[in-house]
Amino acid sequence: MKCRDMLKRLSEYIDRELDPSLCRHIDSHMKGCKPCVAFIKTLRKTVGVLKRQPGAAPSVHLRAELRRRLRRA
Amino acid sequence: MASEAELIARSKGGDPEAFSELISRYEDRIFNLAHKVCAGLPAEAEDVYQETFLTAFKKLPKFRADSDLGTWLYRIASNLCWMRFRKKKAEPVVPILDRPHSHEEGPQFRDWSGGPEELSRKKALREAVEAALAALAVEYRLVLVLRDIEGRSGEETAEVLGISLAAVKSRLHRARLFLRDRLDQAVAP
Repeated sequence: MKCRDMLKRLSEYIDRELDPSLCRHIDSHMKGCKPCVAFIKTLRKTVGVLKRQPGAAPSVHLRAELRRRLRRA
Repeated sequence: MASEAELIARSKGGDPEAFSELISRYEDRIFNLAHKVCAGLPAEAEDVYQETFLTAFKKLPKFRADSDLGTWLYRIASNLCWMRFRKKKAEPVVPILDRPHSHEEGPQFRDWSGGPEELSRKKALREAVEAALAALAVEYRLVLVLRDIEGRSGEETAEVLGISLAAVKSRLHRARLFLRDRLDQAVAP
């Protein structure tokens, strides 16, 4: 498997949605390709950073305003 | 505590108090979706949040009992976001996919995976994520936010957005690669 072909499937690989035989090809490729290892580690980290983005919540004022608008609707 | 089905039935009859109780169960999720998709535009996010529930209240008589209320609300909110940003239709450019070379003869990737974990607590990285999200076309942003920030499944994301699972996977991958490139630039020494 070439680097370019592998890079197309990496999201499915890190989401564990890839066929096991393709996973084995990727695992095997990683053993000999340092740039691809760096790429997948930084892709995993990117997804991790997204998952840890702080949640946003509506302010008390905005919640109250929505209820006021609903009562008038 | 009243069941969701009971609250939906009362809301369908025009009871705003019952609908307010339903809102309480979903408003943080809907606001977070709007906030992340309307990256850097808080007034737009506030509008999407309010319009989602006002639209839902109006359309509730047509809501089918066998549907999932959360998925339905996500669909309304996603559609409102899409309507706001639909004019910007560009595909996210991802050098590794779009340029005619691979790293065998082109770029060598740096491993900064140990860095952003520490940096993630810092304002600079949060801003880099926000800026990268804002640079994505809305159809990619919606998929990324629903899957990686809201934690919805591929199947639910496809249902919310009315697209195929294959399209969800394709957009998610391209959006993640785009984000990875932007974070790579943000953590460059």
